[in-house]
Amino acid sequence: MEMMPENEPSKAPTAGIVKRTTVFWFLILLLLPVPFAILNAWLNPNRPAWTKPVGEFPFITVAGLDVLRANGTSMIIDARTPAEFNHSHIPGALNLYPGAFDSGLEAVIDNWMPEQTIAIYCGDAGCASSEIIARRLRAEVGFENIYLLEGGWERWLQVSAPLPYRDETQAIQ
Amino acid sequence: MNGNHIKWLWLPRLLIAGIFIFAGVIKVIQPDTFFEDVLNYQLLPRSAAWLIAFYLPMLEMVVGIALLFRPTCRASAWILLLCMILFTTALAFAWVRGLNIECGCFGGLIPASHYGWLLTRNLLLISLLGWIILVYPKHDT
Repeated sequence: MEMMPENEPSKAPTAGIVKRTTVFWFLILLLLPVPFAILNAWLNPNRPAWTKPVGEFPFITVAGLDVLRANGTSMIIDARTPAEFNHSHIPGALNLYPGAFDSGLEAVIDNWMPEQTIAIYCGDAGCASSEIIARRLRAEVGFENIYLLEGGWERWLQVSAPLPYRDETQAIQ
Repeated sequence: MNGNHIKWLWLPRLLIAGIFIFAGVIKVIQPDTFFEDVLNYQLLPRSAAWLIAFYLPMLEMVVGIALLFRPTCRASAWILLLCMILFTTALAFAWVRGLNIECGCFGGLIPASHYGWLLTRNLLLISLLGWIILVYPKHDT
């Protein structure tokens, strides 16, 4: 215990310098990737779009989806997580989530019929997974006639879900 | 005891540097895949995910390399530790919410494993980084 006061004066200045240099390198290392990241964002051919591509996939309203469902000319794909799908979904929808694309694709292909309209939805208006699924279905399977449900599951629940079903779902949530 | 610890520090430094440089390079090449992985966590808006898709892989590469050099070792270990805490929190949050997503750790090259394994791996890396920060001599910086 008595050694402590003797050691302290010699340690204190070193500790100060160490703190400054570590912080210095910390900041340099945080800033150094920035120019390289900008260069990569500029030149990389695999650059994702900054904004959602406008008009890449047309939207379908909940009312439009109801008409298609009544006519039986549509395939509805739920792009939310399997847990969310299992909890509740639009009747007749198939689950195809980006994280489980390969395992869910078989059921989609089995149920697909030519001339069918494909409507894809995810959680709400801001979600991205319906767009991701739409792009993969078009690129990897060659599906056309793909629509995204405007407002997603949230909108369908507000507008079109049968009242007891809506109450039950919202109560659980 | 402490001297022995320091002698063996090159091992976790090399291991962690290799992991992060590898992870960074894959994601630098395929930013679109990593961008979708980040979006799937449903934690960030599209614009923030886009910025992260370009910045984070470069940071991983730079800091991974810096971990191998004496003056930058401690600072890079601190950055990696903070990154790992953030990644682990995001992963745990996704697990709690029942999301079945790719972890995005190595872009699209290594598919997602079980959450339990991913979290264990992250905690192991956090421990190694903590060890480096505690044991690495401060006067080397």
